[in-house]
Amino acid sequence: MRSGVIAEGVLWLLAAGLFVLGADFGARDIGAFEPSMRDANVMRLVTWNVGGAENGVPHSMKEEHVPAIADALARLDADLVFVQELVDGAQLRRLADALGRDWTAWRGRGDCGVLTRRSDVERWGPRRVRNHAGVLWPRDGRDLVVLALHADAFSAKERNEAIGESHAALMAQAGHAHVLLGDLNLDVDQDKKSELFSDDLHADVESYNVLAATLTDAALGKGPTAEPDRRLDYVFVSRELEIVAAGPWFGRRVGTMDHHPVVVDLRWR
Amino acid sequence: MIARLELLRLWRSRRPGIAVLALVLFLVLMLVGFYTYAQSKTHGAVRFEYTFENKSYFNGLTFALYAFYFGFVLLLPVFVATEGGAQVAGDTASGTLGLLLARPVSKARVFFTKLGLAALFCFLLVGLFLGVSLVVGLVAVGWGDLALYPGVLQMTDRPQHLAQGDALVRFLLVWPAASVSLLCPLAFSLWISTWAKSAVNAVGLAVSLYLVLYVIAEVHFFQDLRPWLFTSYATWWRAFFRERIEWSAALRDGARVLGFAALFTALALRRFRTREG
Repeated sequence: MRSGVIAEGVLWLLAAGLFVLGADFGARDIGAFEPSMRDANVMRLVTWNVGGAENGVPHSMKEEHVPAIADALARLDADLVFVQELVDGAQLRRLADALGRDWTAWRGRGDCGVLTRRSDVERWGPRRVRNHAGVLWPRDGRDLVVLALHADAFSAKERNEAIGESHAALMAQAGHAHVLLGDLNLDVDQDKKSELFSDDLHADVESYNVLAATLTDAALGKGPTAEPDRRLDYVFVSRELEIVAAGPWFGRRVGTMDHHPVVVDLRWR
Repeated sequence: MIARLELLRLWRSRRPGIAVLALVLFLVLMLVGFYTYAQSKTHGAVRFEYTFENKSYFNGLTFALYAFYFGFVLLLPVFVATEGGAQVAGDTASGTLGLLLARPVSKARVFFTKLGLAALFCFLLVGLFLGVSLVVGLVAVGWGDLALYPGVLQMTDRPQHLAQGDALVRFLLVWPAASVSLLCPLAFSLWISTWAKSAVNAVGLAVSLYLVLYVIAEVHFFQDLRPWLFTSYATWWRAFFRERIEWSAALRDGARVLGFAALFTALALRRFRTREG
């Protein structure tokens, strides 16, 4: 009887000790992006799906959200801003006007657009991809090639093909460094049952990995980019670029918007 | 004496044989699945034009890893919970426990003998399953390096590669780590077994509760509940398949697993000690 009491006591103590050992007392800092002053040689890029969803129904950018979006973008003072889920070119121009006179904007294909204050940025983009906006930016004597993509939200196979074609076109474009970013609408993060959100997880895994094989996922481990708790927006950069900082900037979406802006600071290696 | 008796009863129960047979059947089905998948990838019906896979992606090590992963989360806990659930409740129902305790032997000794033998059974079952998976992989699929990709089995968040020798060492490390993981469902089912008077009820309740907790732990919407569920840490051994093992995180998860196992064992012992008969 007594030996049982002692053994039980030892087990309780052991359990308590092991739980203390297993406790994670470290601060949970996932290092999400916070805008700060940057060096002159640092390039800042932003991708933001500015649409949203209301009562389960997706919608493009709402006019009432333009001031808040412009305010966030003005604070970021990025070199290149890529937006998705625009209603039309006129709406994009209104967003550019809200940012200031020195901002120019143009639509890519589909619901994608570009905003920039840099006068030397050229338009570029592959013909076969439906929703995209791309630029060529000569910077410090080298050419940066960027392609923004808004992949299909409901079909993994559509995403698979769009991402594959975009990646192939991007890497075929002459330049010193390449960046592929945008709302890719796939979530293969660890520790999640992603098949709950995808009609073909295998295709999404392949889509992600074709990019990860040649480019670096800049905002990996920096947290979700969209509601509910999903990482759908990515910035993939080639090895010629050093990632100074990257991640979603939380607290900027308003109303029924469902994505955070994802920001990356880069410089040439 | 008690240990020999318990060992003999475990062998005569046929539970170990049934578990081994089920695992072999599972491996055969996995092998068929691998072959049909490979066929569909090479003879038409291929839609993935931008695949990351290559000829050397699927090999014996990949087979062993897939087989062990799915076997571990879906099959091994069921056999282990069956073992734990049958221990005390089965003996109570048959009256064997009363006969055992009529001898000059403490309840604690009987309890720890049963637990120890069941834990040894877990350890051997995991080792056998891993070993057979690797051998089947080697013979039927052929070995190579182990490539892992994000999204596959939730093993890694970036593409990674382990040389064959390194990967085999990781499989060896996983043996004790996965065995430790199974101590949780074992102790949990033993605790339930101390309350039940029928082995069927104990096993049924233990298995169903394990599955409920496993599903809750897997769905990330329930992330606030996860830290409190032992099933959240069941596959902590996956850390040993990373290119660079994060030892502090792995050992922390290992401590949590052992903590839950100690907690359930303490609860089971308390109930076993204080109950009548």
